[in-house]
Amino acid sequence: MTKRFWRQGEPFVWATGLALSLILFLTLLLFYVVMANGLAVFWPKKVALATLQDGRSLLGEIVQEEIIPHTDKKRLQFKIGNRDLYGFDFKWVDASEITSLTYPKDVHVLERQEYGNFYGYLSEFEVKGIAPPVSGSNSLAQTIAALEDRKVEVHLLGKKIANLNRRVELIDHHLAKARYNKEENTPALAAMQGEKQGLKTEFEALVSILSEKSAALATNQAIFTDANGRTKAVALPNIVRAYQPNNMSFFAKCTYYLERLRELLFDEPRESNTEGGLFPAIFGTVMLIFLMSILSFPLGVLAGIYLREYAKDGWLVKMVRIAVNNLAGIPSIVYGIFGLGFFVYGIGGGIDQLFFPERLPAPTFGTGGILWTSLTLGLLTVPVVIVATEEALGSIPPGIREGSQALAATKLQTLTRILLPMASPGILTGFILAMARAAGEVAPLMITGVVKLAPALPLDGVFPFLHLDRKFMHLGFHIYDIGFQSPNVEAAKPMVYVTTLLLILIVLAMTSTAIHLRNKMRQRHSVADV
Amino acid sequence: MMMHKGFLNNVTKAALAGCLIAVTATTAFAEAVTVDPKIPAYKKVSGVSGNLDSIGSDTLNNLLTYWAEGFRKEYPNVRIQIEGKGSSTAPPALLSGTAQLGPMSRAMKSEEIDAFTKKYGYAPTRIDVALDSLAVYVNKDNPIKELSLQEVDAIFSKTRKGGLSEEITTWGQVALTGPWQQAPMSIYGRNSASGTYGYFKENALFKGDFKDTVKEQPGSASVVMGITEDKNGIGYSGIGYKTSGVKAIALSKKKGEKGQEASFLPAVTTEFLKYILSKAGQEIVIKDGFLPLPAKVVEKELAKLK
Amino acid sequence: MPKLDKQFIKKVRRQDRFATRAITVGGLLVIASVIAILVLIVRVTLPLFQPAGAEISHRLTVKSGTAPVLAVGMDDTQEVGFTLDTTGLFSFYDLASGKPFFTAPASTRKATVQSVESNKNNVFALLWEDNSVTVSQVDFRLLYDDSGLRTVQPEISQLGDYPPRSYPAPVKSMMVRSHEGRLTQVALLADNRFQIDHEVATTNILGDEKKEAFSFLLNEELPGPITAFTLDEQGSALFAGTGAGSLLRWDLGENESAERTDNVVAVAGDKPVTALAMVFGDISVAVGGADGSLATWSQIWTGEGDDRVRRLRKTHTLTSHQAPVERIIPSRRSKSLVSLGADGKTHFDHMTSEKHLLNLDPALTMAGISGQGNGLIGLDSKNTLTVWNVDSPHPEISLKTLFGKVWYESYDKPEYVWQSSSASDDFEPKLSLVPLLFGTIKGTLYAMIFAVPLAIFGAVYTSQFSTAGFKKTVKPVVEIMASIPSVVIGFLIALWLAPIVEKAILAVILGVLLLPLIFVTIMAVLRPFYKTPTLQNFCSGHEFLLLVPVIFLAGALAMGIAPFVEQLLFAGDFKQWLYNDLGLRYDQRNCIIIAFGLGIAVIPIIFSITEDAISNIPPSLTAASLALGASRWQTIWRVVLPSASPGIFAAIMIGFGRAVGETMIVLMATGNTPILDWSIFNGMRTLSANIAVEP
Repeated sequence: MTKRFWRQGEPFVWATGLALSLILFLTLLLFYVVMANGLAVFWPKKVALATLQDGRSLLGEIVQEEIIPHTDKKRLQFKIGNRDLYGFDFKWVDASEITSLTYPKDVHVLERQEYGNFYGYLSEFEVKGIAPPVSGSNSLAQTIAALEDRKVEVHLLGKKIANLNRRVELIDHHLAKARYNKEENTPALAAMQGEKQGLKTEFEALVSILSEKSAALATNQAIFTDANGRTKAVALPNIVRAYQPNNMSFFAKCTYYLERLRELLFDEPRESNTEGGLFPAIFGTVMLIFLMSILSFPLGVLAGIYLREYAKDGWLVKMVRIAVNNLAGIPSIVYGIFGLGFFVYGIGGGIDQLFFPERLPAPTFGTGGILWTSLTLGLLTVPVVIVATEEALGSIPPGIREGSQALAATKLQTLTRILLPMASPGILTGFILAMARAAGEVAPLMITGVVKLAPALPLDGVFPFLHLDRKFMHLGFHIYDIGFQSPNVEAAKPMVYVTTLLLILIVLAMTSTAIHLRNKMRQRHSVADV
Repeated sequence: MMMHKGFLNNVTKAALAGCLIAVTATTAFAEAVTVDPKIPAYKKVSGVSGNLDSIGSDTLNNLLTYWAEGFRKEYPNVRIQIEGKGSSTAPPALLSGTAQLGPMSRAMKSEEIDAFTKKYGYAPTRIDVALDSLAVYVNKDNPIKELSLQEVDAIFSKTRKGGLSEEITTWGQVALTGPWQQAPMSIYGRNSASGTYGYFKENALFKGDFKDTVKEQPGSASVVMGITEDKNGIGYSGIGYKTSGVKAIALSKKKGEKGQEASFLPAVTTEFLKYILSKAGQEIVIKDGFLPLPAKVVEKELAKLK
Repeated sequence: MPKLDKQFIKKVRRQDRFATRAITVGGLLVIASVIAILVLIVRVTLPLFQPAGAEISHRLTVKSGTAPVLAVGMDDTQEVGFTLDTTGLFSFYDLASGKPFFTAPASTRKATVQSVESNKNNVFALLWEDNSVTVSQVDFRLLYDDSGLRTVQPEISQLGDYPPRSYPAPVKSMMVRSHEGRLTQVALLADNRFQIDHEVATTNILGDEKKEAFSFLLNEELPGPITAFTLDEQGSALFAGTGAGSLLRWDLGENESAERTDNVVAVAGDKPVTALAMVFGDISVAVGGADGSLATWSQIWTGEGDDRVRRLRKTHTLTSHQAPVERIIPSRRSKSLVSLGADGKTHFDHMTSEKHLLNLDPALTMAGISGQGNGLIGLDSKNTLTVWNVDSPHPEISLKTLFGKVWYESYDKPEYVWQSSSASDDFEPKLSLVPLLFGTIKGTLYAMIFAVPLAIFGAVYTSQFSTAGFKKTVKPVVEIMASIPSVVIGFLIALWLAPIVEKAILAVILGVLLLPLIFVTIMAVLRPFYKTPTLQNFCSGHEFLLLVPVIFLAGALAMGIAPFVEQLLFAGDFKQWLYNDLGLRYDQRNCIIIAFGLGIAVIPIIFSITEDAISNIPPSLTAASLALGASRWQTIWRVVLPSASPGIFAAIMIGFGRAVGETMIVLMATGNTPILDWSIFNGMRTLSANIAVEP
């Protein structure tokens, strides 16, 4: 009986079940870690005031605690911020040194344009040109809000100057071209020179107004004291956000959370990418996937259709199939190197020689850019799409083709009205999975055009709107960069988890769309399976 | 050790390399350091716009990003693209023209200068931009206080040109006791594309070779992170990367080098460099944990830009 | 239904023909480019083993009737060549036209040069008859005129001029080195002794400079007459060869005296050493013998414990000449050597790869290498100056250096080494692919050991034993898992998992052991009740859910007992025990971490393909097997798996390919250590990560 039980292999069935449980467990664990670390980042944490045995005190968020090795004592890590005062954002304190730990209500946390967070108490204001702030818990927020109009004014002025600059740049380009073509003393040239001169005067006037205004704005400041009574004046326009975490209602915390989320999705990064938003990176990632799809999808499908429906079966087609399959197995980093050598230096360099000789040796297309990166990724996905298309078409029974042709439909009609709709779920699945893979691919991007900072988007309101030669930012590279190369790694770590979460969500959204789409199409065309 | 972070630049022709001065790992530097008051403030000029690409050192990457942020406040429509994978990526980028600036945390090799000169007919211009001090880090719980350069060599190098006859593999060999005595060292370092790697190899390893067991990390920050989490860890990295989880230990060794000549640069690049060498630019240097240049050096470097 | 009028049919046919052509052309184009790319990639990835070649680019005759030539050289652009004769005159020749165009004396004095020595490119130390020495450097400036035309302008600068010192015997030849404030002069006297003079300049804190002079003779008994000698750049090591084939080395590091450290026989059969030269980098010395042998020697560590000392050993043997080696000229850019034989043959060798690069015929008496190492200039007995353009792009790369053990300078023995770059010029890239291949295989292998059983078993369960509804949810979940970007996995396992595993390594190992143990126990306990229909009905298709608690149980148990086991068996510290008792170093970035990370990346791929392969087995096969009374496992094991084996094999291979090519995970989580060690507790460096991590 026992022997039979084992011989029939029932335990093995359970063992396979165990394997599946393990796989699912791992997947969930992975998501759990990312979620747990990523979601909590923006939730305002309480700020503790720790008084130490030597009489000093410190103010900060408690980040983690651990046992000191070879002892059984505990120690706490505080995020103390105030990098301009202390030099470090974090500090370890032995638990035995702390005499009291309180959470004072009136602690302010400031998110600043520079030097990270500030933790301290508000003592007074020095403001000009606006009504002196009323006292009360809300005074800081009100004062900052009162300055909003003037901040906007300065911002608009800055935009105006940027516009002027852009026009000067355009003229400079024309001039450079003229110089390259050895044109001299033409009336058009003189007109341009004149215009440039005019713009320059205008520019200088605006700049002096701007510097005056922003200097005036910066004189509005608030004086804060840290835990040990050291004072620090913070210019109000430098404060991105101020809050009192120990004095916040649940609702206020939610509002804060949403505000941070908005900043993450729509604002530009600050402080060497460790603070602020991720907008350029999100935009870059989405645009890269989009461009890559435009390039690889039609080509892949076309080739797949040709191979399956039009090409005559023979050794050539077989060889091609082997080649395509091999291409699908080549490591992505090799594609990156190929992209750099062939697209960037080869084609890009050639384009520069032909079309932008006046700018040489500064390259226009002969350097990494979003076009070359998407071409490289397109190349990476084309074989996958070819294989998926071929397989999807191949799984349609030949009877259906014969039936269609027997009804006098041409090959094209058969293809567009019968075969492609039937094969579309398969094609789409293969394609979207390839796309998801490409979205998470970082290694080839690193060599073909992704950069740490490129606030100028590849798509904007300036002619010719689409700037395929520009470099771009990417979420995956962002993770690698701030996680491994940021100088202030401790402060950057939460941001890495947030970026990770965001990237996973984007990829998940794409994959789920693919799966959903496939299921829907499968239902619609399931009749044909019968 | 301290490196004088330099920074290379070319397109229409100039490159700036790094010069190195070495002392010890400083502690509590942040509070003491201020910008030399003689360094002039930055003056804005008109018509500055266009593209600026920088490819090179990842140690200087963040500094450049900070500078770029500051520079863009002055000139909103300058497009700055920054890429940092290691100092060794700078010379090829300057050579192929893909970057106008090539930040490096070491001096250019003569091979690299040769290649540049061969293509453009003049040597790259080197502008020194900040001082960095390279530190040897251990975990915060490690009781060690000091290491001699020969010991560092015997820890990191398999060729031991420093002269110690035995390699050092456990903490007991550098006179730690108790639970540390038998503990094997876990060594971290930078990848070979980085200038920090080259500088450390030349000065701390006496041009010897790293052990195979040195874990090459793709960024200075990940060296520090590795040591933070690894009780027996030891590694080298810029002092600006110090965190609360690691401890910098003292060493000594001196070394100096000279720069090269300059030639003309396009306006955006020049202005950017002037910004770097201004008061605002040097304040950012401190923010990122490097040491600012003395006013004398700034004056000398500015002269190269004229 | 549209009318079948002729026009319509025509239109449809036209469209069809057009589409056929368009698709054919388009498809062929795409495929052609795809194949072209494949070919290109293969071409790019294949290293170039180009053999060296040399062609004569210029040939000219030096003015006859002038004083004998002592040295030759040329500029880096290979446009200007020069000679230095016994009157101390540099004569420059435009190589293209062969015309002399400029002469300059090394010194204003009117005397005869007795001997010339050159230890750097275009730097010459001239020993005059009166025993004074002049060190001159030849510089070449590139000048551009308005039209961008380049001219090369030679310049002579004097680096030093040293008055004669007193010598007890006539000086045969002399070498001068200046390094960090110390000037060293080594003179070989006619009575077979060396006289060494040091002049040391020190600056104290107040900025005062102090000069001290030291002078002494090496009065030792020497094994035969000195036939050749050389000094390193810093003037801290003196090498001498004797007429009996001995190679001697003195340490000149101290100012007051010199210590003889080595005395070895470098040339066999009592034949004299005829030529000596420091190989670029100043570590090895090249020794040429009267028997035509050419070898390099360097100091390596020998002995054990406290007796470990550095001694000269022969590290590389290069291709021999047929006649005595007359002169060795080292390249100043690589470890290449040019050697002139007495029979007029010129050899071009690379030290490390021991590759014989070139063999030139003309009987040269003098030769020089251009600064970039790509040009050779030589003078023959008929006063003809010949310039070769040497094309040897990668002299250091050969199959042997890529795949074999190589004895690099400063290493104790030949080894597989990967260390590709450095900031210094004289560094030699060490490019053994063996550690990289090994690392790739090691990482992939451990990952596959982890991933393959899990993925295949999971797929078998999903396709054969689970309920239909469940199957519909599991597949998408796994597909989602497949799309997790590798940079995310890399980041998580490097910065989150690795520290956790390090702290709880014993618990991890125990967990891996306990899980099957607990599982088998539960199976055994369950057995008597298994036949009860309720249990069977309830379990069937949900086994995996019931097993989730088992995983948690094993995990919790492992963590619970780990501290006790550690105390009991491993003296309280498992990692220390590994190191002390087994000699295994535990590295935080190790194979367990990589296996896990790569596993997560490849499991979904193997799972999906295997699942497809198994699901495609016709149901009739399984039905038949079950109908014949086979159990469900027997059906799977004997019927389903064998039929699906090609698909499963393909799945494993594709997973394998992905693991080999995976870059980011390995780059971030391995530590990239090029070690040759199968230990699961340390890391590796893979080919793919190497591409990303190197410049």
